[in-house]
Amino acid sequence: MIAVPEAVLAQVSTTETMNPLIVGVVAVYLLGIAAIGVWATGQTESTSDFLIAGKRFGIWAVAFAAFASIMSGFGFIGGPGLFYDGGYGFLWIAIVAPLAFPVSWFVLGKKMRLMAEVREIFTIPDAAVARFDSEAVRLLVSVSVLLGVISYLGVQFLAIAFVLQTVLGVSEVTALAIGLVVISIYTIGGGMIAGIFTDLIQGGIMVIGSVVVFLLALDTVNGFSAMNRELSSQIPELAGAFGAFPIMLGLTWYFLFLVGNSGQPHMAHKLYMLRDPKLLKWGAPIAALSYFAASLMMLALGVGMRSLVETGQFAELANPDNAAPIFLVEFTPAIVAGVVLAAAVGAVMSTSDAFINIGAANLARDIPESLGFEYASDRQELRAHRVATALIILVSVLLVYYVEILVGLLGVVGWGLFAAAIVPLLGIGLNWKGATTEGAIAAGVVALFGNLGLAIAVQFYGFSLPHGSATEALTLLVAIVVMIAVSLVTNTKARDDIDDDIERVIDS
Amino acid sequence: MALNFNPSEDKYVVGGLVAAVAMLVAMYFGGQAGQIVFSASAVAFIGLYVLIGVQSSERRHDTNVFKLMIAGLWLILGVAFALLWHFHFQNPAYTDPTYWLGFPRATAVVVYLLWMPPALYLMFAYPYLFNTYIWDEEQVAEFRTVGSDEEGNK
Repeated sequence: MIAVPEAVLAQVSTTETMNPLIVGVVAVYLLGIAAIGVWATGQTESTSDFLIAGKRFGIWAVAFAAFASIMSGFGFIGGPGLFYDGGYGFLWIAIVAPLAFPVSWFVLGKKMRLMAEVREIFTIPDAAVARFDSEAVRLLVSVSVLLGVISYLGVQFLAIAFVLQTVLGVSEVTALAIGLVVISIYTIGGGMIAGIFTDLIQGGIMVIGSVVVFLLALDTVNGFSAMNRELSSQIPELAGAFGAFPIMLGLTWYFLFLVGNSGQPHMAHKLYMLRDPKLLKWGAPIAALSYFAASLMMLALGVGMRSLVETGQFAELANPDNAAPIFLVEFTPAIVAGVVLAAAVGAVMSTSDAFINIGAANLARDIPESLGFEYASDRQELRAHRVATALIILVSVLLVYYVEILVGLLGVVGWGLFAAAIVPLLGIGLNWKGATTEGAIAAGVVALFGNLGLAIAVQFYGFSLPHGSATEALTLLVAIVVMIAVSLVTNTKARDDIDDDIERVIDS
Repeated sequence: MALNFNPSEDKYVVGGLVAAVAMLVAMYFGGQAGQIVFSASAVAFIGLYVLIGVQSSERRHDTNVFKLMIAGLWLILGVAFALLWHFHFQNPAYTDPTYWLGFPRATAVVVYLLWMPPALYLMFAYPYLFNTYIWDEEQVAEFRTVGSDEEGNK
């Protein structure tokens, strides 16, 4: 039996009990991130600097940025909550990334980086247009990416407010304002130069913090064996391979998150930023092992917390998302809790800055270009990106508070929207000469309208797929099938019709 | 309507199409058979997706090394899923389970076999094959020339 003081049987309010040391660590972290933003603003002199950091970074920075932006608040806060709620069923998302990164590297690593070598390519829609030479493709991908970005940002901003409110003991609005000021300083001024530097620091903190908390959590529950036996004696299915979730949900998550990783713009976009394509070599192991280390915490902490609750050693949590902060405050030293909560803020911010940058590029570059607009100078374009960055932050915040239903609707489709729009067009399109413009447009239509249609059906009409399958996996599969099937019976921009420089990339 | 099909260039893509359709059918029917078919098709698709990604390198170097690499990946994932289904269907309610390394057996397969072994295999295959089959000095020079031509044309 685990020895836990009687006092903690009562539900704790972390806002009232937060140790000043924890608050101090998080405050120092936020100031440090803001300082990087101020420094990076001086380094950002062109649109290329702002969007792809001027292709100046080495593999550690790029791989850490890729893993940190994929991890997100969902992994650090939502992950333990889902393990707490559904037992080991969440493994079907948590175990995927270490395999997904090398798959993405094999499929997209070289091709994406080479696209940036032969054309002036800064964004994901830029690459799709270069391959398929179609403004319709640009518009479909841009709109899909923009909707996905807004949905993710809405959720990330809520996560920033949740973590800072918990740590600083301030109101939700004040917590959000603090988070947004810091994030605005470094994204509006410093663009991706600030983004990559902060991701490197945030990723490092996530890895170290996760491993330390994993060991502390296992020690608290006396190891996996004791924890699982306790859990199994209360609710056996939670210790099962699929936890409390339907089996087909776990399996479709596995496919969606594995193959869909290569369709995430905040991951794929980072590949443009390498200073030399040869540096790709060690990127897959660095990103995959870092993600593995950073995800250990959510497993032990989420299931461990549930085990403590089920065996009556801790009061039931009002909100599963409290599993991480409450465990950290109650069961780890203050300095560790401070570092890991700073890591949680970092996880949210690293994802947010990637999406803010991608969304700004969409507003200031992709959509205007698809409508035929051209900038007079690079300086004018850089200014437009900074304004678009501020606009994206503002619109996302307004959506969070005033159009809650839209965030709820889009919040569930973010990953699926990206995956269904980008995997067929770039994962397949940059590697298969038979892919055609018609196939790309058809897949883009399925991705955009399929995901939105299913999200509306699920949210408003209680629709669900048979056997609990994930709807986003369905749209990804249908988009892939449509892309290939339509391409097999059409010809535009396929084989001999492909531009010479793009054909060299496909043949590389 | 002329068919845009080249068997030597399109074999992996068509294989991926078949696997994707099989997954859709399995999602519709569900049940034990659907779960097994879905997992097998997903494993097949993942391997074919990687092969689509490396088929230009495969042709450039006239090598079977990538097919062997994917055969290894399929073996690891195939064994893992076979064990998972074997232990899961033996005791789907997980009442009084047999434990392996701290977890009920089916869960242990997910944690110890499905999580890191296939990932470690593939993540180190990339740098191992990089210099010989994925990227070489000749290509660096080739693309730098293309890149500088493009810059010059702006």
